[in-house]
Amino acid sequence: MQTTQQLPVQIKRIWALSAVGSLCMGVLITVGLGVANWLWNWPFWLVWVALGLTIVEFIVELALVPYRYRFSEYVITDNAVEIQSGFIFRNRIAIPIARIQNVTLKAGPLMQWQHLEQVVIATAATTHDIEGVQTAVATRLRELIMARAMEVQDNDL
Amino acid sequence: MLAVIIFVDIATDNGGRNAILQDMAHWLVLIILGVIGITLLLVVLPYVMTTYELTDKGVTLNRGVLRRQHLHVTYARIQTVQHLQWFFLKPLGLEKVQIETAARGSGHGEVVLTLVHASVGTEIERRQQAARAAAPGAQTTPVAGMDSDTDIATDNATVASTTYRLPNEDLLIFGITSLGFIPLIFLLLAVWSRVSEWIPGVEDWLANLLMHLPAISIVVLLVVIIGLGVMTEFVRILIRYWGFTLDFDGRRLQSRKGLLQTNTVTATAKRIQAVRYKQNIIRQWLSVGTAQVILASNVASKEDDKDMVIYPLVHQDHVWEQLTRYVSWLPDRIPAVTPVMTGYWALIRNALILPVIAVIPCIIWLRPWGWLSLLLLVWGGLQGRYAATRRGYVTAGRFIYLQTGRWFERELLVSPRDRVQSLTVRQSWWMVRTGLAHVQVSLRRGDGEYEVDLRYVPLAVGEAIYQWYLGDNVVDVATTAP
Repeated sequence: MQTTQQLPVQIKRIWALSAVGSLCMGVLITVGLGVANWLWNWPFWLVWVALGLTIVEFIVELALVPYRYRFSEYVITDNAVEIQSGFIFRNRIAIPIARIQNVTLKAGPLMQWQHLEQVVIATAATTHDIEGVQTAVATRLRELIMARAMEVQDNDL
Repeated sequence: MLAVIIFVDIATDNGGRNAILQDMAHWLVLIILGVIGITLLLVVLPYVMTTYELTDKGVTLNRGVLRRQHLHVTYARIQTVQHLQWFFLKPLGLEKVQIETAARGSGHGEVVLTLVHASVGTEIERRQQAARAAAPGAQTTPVAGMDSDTDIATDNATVASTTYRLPNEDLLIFGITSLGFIPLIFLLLAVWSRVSEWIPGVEDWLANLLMHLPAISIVVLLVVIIGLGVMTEFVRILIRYWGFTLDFDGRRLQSRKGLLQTNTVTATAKRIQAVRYKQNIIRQWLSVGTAQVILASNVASKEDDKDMVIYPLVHQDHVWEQLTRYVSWLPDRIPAVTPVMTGYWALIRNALILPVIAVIPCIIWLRPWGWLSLLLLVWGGLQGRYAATRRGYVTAGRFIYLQTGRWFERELLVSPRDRVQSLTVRQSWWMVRTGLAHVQVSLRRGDGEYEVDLRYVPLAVGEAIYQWYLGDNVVDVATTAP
């Protein structure tokens, strides 16, 4: 697997749904502030601020999904795992296989619905993740990474 | 201490003098009872309920009042043993022993024997050595293309044991040049403001006094306050680093220091992740600094900066050749670091954000003293500029050298590629236009991570360091960077 891989297309749906989730949270907070205004006379401009922020955040997050998708990719070479992600805050991370301690696959309900898994790679210091890959691919990736990691016995600190 | 001061503050907020005194008496009795009760519950009871046992295979610790815990650590798994001994316990031969293994995320050192006889600690270490000698050695085999640790294994076999003792004049210079007095002065000011509220009239009396004195006395007063701060810090460092000794037997580094409480920290040389040499602005002027090592174990978590100090004070021309005695992978000569010339304004701007947030309310609501807060802006600006001018980097062979500046302290970090756990090049969307990026190097420190950030470097430099880390081409970044 030397070539750069894009994330599966379904991840865009997950990101869009996550934006909707933030929208719901924002609306709840706005309503909460409205209730607080009605019950305890909290200032009303807070409600406007919350509403504004929610709408702006939702639009921005939704609009950024295609750009984020374009920028996100990963490569697994003989020596390292390289992950690229984010659009506003762009990260390029290099993790040598020799530094990998373990690999975990995680999936919340939304991811499971789309048959995606998140690949979490743990080094001795930090964890990094590939945001979403298909389940079959994820399992194969994990096996590949762990096999290479076990060949290299430099994993001891 | 602070809680007591604040507490007394609240107590004195209700009216007349007599009432205050009565209330105070009331409260004092309650406080004393409360403190005794809490001490009994939190200190004496757990102590009585904790037992330990040195078995054939390991150390067993039984502790807990409501939920009993039984911790068992095999001798072979013990990584470090730390001894802490207060001076008044020396004649009794008692100390606190802290045992640590390689397990991650255990927070407060796993097995802690709060008060045991010194022979127990020695016995544990003896059994640990025996267990390790008996175990089949875990040799790391080098893989083609990967950096190997074998040079450490062979070097240790031939190194004789060495002892270093910090000379007294170095200890004095170390104490005097510490910048730790600055936070102390802030603390002094905070205490003073509390005291002046508690004893009404003190502030007025002082203001009267100051107005009747010539201006020069105010300057003298300021000098006295600063002098007090410096003296306190000096004494604190003296007590902490008294008798600093460093022993190395080829495999383990042991540092012993302290006047009131002797603190012995032992670490395996193999667990050294990186070496750091730092100099605050005064020490830089004197060409001296402190050398520390970043370890993968928690022994140094109570130290200044959470890292084990190897040389509290050492001249910058000699530090690296002296460190190679303990850290075998260190090269004798450090290449010159390439300074970073970009991103000055960004760093100064970042350093000014917090001061601006603090200054604006001061100016609006706290006149006229609020205008003094503009000094904060100057401070912030100077900090930003210091951080900007001290950045530097170079990669040579399998080492990366990163120089950064923070709080008027410059530090140079040296780490081999195989100790760096991951490397990130970060670029925010608005930085694409200016072509700048941040490079972040992740190391293991204690139970968690240590990140060194090289900020606002040209993207090409970030890319070059990234490629160096992947190991495709071992080219010195310094020679190829424009």
